[in-house]
Amino acid sequence: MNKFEKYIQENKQKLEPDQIDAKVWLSIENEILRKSKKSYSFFIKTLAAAAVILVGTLLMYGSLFKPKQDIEARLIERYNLGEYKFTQQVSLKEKELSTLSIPKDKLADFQILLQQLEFLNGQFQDYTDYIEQNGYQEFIGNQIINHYKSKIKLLDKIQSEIEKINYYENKIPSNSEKVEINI
Amino acid sequence: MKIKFHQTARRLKSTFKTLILLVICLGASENLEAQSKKVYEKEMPVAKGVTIETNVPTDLGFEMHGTMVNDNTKDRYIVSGKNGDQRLNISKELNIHTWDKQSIKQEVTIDAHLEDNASAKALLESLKIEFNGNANGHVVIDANMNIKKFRMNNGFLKSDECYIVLDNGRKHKINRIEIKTVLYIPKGANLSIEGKRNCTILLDDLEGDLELILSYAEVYGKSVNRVKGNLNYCYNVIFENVNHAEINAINSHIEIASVKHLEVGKQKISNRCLAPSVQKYMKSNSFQNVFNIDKVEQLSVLETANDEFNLKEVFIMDVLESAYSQYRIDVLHNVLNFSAKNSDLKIMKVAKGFREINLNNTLSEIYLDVEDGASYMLNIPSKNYLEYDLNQKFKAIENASGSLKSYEVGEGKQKGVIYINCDKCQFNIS
Repeated sequence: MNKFEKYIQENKQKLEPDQIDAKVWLSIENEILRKSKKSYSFFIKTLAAAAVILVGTLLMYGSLFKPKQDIEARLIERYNLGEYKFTQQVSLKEKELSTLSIPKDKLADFQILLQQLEFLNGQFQDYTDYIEQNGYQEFIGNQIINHYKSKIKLLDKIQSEIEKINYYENKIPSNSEKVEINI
Repeated sequence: MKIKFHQTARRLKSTFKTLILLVICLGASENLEAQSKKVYEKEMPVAKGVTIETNVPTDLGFEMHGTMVNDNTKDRYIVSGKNGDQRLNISKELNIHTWDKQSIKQEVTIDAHLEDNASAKALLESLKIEFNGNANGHVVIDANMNIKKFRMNNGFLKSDECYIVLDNGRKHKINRIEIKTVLYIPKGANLSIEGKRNCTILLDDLEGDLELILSYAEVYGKSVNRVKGNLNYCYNVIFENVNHAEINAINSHIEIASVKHLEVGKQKISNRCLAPSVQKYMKSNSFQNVFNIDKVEQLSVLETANDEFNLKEVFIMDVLESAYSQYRIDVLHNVLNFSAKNSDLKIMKVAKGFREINLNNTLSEIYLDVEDGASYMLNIPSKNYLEYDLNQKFKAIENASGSLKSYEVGEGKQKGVIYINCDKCQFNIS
C-alpha cells in the first residue's frame, strides 16, 4: 500500500460528504427522466407515422373502413348502372312495403317470399365479394342487373300478395292481430 | 474554347444516337413475339353406356391482380390487360357433338402468343389432352386440357405479366392465349356437365341421360332421352324433345318444345351450384323460374314457390305443393290435380273430353274456359269464401249433404268433374 492509498484509507470518513444535496439528486433524476422521455417520444412518433402510413395505404387500396352498405352505391356509380335507377326503385318499393301489414296468422306462409328476398341479398353479397377479390367483370355486372330485376319482381309480388290478403281481410275479418312484415 | 464546345457537342450527339438506338432495340424486342397455333386431338374408345363428366371452358381458374377488362360477349370470354391488349380469349361455347362411334374425342384449338419461339415450343409441348377415370368409373374430360389456371398481374409501373399454370404446377409466361374446345361423344352415352361461370352448351341428340349442374349457363339441346337439371341463374335452357326431365332450379328460364314427363322441384338444387353464403336461404326446391313448355304429356310439380309456368298444351298435370306460383295453360286435355296456396291458375281452354279438375287452393284467382260441347259436373264446397258468377248453362243440382254446391253442364253421357275447393278466391268459369 503506497502513501496515497494509506492516506485515503485513513481519511475516508472525512473525504466522503455527509449527505448528498437533494437538489443535485433531483437534477440528476430529471436529466435521466428527460432522456428517457426523449427516447419514448421518439418511439411514439415513429409508431404514429407507421400507423398513418398503414391507414393511408388501407384507405387507398382496400375497403376495410368502407361500410358494407356503401358497396351497393359504389358499384352502381362505378359501373354506370345508375341509368336503370335500380336502387331508387328498390328503396321506394321497400319503403312502401314497410308501411303495410298483414294478419299475424298469414305471416308463416309469407316467410317463403321473405326467404327468397334473403336469398337474393345473399347472392348480391356473393357478387360484391367476387368483385372485391377479382375486380369488376362484365358478367358480374350482368348478374347484378339480373339480381335487381329479380328483386324488383319479387318486391312487386310481395306487394300484390299483401294487397290480396288485405282485400279478403276486409271482406271477412279474421280478428288476427295485424303485424308488419319487416322487410 | 470553340474546339472544346464542338467536342462536347459531338459527344452529346453520339450519346443521343446510342440512346435512340437502344430505345428502338428495346421497343423492337417488346414487339417481337412468337405465335403458335395448334389443334390438339385425342380419341379414345369407351364402353357402351359409359358416363362422361366434363366441366365447361370458362371454368378455368383465374388469379388476377391489377387492371383488367373483361369482355363477356355472347360467344367469347375475353380478359384484357391494363392497356386493353387481349390476354385471354376463351370460346364460351362448348359444342358437344354426338356420333355413332363408340369413342370419345376432344379437339382443342390453342392459339398462343409468347415471347419467343423456344417458349412457344415449350408451352405447346407441355399441353396435352387427358381422359381420366374417376371412382364412379366415369370418364372425366377437362375442357381446357391440362391448363388449370390463367394468372395475370400488372401495376402502375408494371405491364401485364401473364402465365398459364398447368395441372403439374408448371408455369408458362404468355402474352396472349386463345382456347376453343369441341367434344364428340357416343349417342348412347350418359353425360354430366358441371360449370359455375358463364358458358353456352350446344348439344346434339343424346339417347343417354344428361345431368346438368350449372350456374349462369345457357344450354341449347335437341333431343335428349332423360335430363336432370340443377340450374342456378341459367338464362336459357332450351330443348326440343325430351322423354323425361327433372328440373330443380333457381331464377332460370327453361324452355322445352315437347316433353313426355316433366318433374319440377323434386329435390333441392345441388349445393355445387350455390355459393356457400346463400345455401342457408334455400328453403324451396324450385323458385323464381320461368317454364315455357309447348307440349307436356305429364307434368308433376312436386314443390314450387314463386315460379311461372306457361304451358301451351298439357295432358295430365299434378301439382303437389305450390306457393305463390302462377300457371297459364293454353289447353288442358285430361286431368288436373292441383294442391296449392296463393297460386293463380288460368286455363284458356279445357278440352271438352277432359276427365277431372281437382283444385285445392287459397287466396288465388282461378280462370277456366271450358270448350263448348263439354259435359261436366261442377262441385264447390259451401264452407269457402269464393267470389264467382255462373251463367245459365250451369244448372244447380240438389245436394243431400248441403256442404257442396253442385252444377251440371251439358247433356253428354261421359261427364268430366270439376271440384273447386278454394278459400278466399275469385273463380271465373265460362
